[in-house]
Amino acid sequence: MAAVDVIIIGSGAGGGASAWALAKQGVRVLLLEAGPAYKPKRDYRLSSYQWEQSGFPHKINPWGRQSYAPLQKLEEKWRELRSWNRVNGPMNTTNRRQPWGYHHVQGVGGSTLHFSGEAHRLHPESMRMKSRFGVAADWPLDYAELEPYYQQAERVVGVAGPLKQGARWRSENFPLPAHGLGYASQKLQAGCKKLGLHWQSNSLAILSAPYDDRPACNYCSNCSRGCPRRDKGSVDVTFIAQALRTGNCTIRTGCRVIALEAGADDRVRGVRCREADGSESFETAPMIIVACGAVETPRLLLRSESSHAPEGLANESGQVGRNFMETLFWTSSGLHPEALASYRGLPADGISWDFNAPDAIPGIVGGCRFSHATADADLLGPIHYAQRVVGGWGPKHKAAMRDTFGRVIGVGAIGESLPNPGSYVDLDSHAKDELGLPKARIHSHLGDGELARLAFMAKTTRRILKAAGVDELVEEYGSYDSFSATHVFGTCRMGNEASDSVVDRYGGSHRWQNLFVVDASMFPSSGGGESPSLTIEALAIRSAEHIAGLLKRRDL
Amino acid sequence: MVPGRRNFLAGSLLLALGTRVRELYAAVIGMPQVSAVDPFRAFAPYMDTLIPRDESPGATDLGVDQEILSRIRNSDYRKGIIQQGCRWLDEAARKRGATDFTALGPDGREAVVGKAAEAAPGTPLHEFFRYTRDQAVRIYYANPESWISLNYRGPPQPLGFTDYTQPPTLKRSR
Repeated sequence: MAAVDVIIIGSGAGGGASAWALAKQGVRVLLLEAGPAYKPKRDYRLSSYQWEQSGFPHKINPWGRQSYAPLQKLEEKWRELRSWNRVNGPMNTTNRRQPWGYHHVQGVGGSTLHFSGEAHRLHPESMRMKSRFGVAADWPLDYAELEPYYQQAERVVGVAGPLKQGARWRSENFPLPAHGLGYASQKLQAGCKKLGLHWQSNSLAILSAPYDDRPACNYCSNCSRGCPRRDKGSVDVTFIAQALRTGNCTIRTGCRVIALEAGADDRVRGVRCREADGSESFETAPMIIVACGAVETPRLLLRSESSHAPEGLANESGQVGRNFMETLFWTSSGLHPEALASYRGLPADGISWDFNAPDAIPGIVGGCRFSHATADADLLGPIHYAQRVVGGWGPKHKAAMRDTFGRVIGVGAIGESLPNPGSYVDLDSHAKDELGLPKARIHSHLGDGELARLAFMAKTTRRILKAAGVDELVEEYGSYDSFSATHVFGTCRMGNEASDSVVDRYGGSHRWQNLFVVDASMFPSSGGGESPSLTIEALAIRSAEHIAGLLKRRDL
Repeated sequence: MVPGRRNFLAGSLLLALGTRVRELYAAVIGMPQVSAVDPFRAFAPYMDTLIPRDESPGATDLGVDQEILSRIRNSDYRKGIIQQGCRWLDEAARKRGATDFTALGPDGREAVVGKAAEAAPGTPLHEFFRYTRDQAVRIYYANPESWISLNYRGPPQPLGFTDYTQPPTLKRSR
């Protein structure tokens, strides 16, 4: 095989953006992806009458790929945070938090294949949680340093957004104009106005006009089932497509990395893989980037233990797997009196950032944001209405379906998740995957601080819905009685000190000279609910610039 | 936002439905076959009681009954649940003075199905009602003929909904 300069493990936001940023500079990249490639037109069957029967068409089953340590008992004092549905009753009938899963996609493009397209920059103050608020850790860089890389990422993807986003100052406008607010979202905007809250168009990796040989969105609202048109800027149709066009990037799919092999000279010798045909291979390159996400990246590093790295690779600080931060979320949905046809438009077309700053919620450190969540709640089609909104049977059921369909509006909130000693990822020696490798085991605990923030999120979503005219709630669910996460962070965090961080300000291991981590596991703090993909991409582009410089100087 | 919460909702429905499937399986598979009459005879009228024809098609108009029976043909457990449910429907009809469920009028059928809908969780009758209703709505509402009266202009693609910022063209307000 032709010589390779950089091996990248994982093709999601971090791996894909790294591949593009390196390949365009002439660096030869081998991108290893455990999952397959998806073909948008063929695989995302939104033109079928059966479209609603399933969610994202996973080619590799995501269920059961991780294990969970027992989660916390539920307490009476947080009863208001239990999840329920008006047709099916309580969603968790036990007295213990339940693991509903770490939701991700294994495939070229990673979890951007099923994301809702939100493209957010971090609030600048979220990068100073330790020095300003005494929690989490500070980022070893600031917003100003990351800003030009946000610009680059937005240009590659074609982000559509409003002129202003509060504290997230910009040196240039978004590449594309913001999408209009959907009819249902306009009701939420009107409700927010009554409450003195600001509701605006969200910034989205979804095209509002043709761009980069991709068409504009036609507002089907089903981004989470995959976009057959490629107007959603998932990594496969943006960064990776452009990386491949340079001629400097090769992708190998169905390739599972077994371990990274460390040498005696503080360098990683290479990557041991199991290929799609069952054979084993050993790949070497001057530089290696791990970009498997905040659960699978620590898993790979921990199981790459050796005599040179007895605690796991890059784990000299003991922080690999620690500081796990999850998606703290709440969603309330209810019936509006008007027939809205709320299944139309964009997921999360509207958003309120009013409580996003770390000190915006009175008495609570760590912010949150509120957005339109009808699509996120998957109340877009008649089957889900019949299962979750309109119970019963017979003539009354049919009449209720006609009366109700299209009237549900949902508001969701995502909030800051702070690291704590009870939340971490380790290896489960009792639960192995099909290759006999220990699964990642997720330990998750929500402290009273998190639950207070969650209670604020729940209360405020209900206020917004009521002010918008919703007179009956039909479903609510959140993080209190379930672990259900897509945004996960922190397990290989950045820092200036090798004693309490895993990687440096560019994602480089403090000890292993040719090893980088570029994904959300680098995040020292989660932010106040921002969707992380754009920040991951910006970090990746910045790290790639640094790595390319090292390669040029042969500084390895 | 986070799409994974859809999966959370799917998982929560499975948990909420209970975990007594193995017990039900043993109870149902062990039942002796007692009749030479078509064991699914009551199924079509039962389906049309769950989803009747009114201004939009009923369940059997869209072949929902046949589709469910086709889906369960390789599952002894599911066949057993539905056969047992059909026997119960006929028995309940006889208690109302009819020869069987098919002989009941619409009001009688609704009264009988209403009893099935109230069956205690964990019983074969509850599982019969729960499973058949769930399958019925999945199949019925995946048929575009059921969408017309809902003013639903799906599927989502290839046309999308480019009028999304406007009020819907056909609206029904309370």
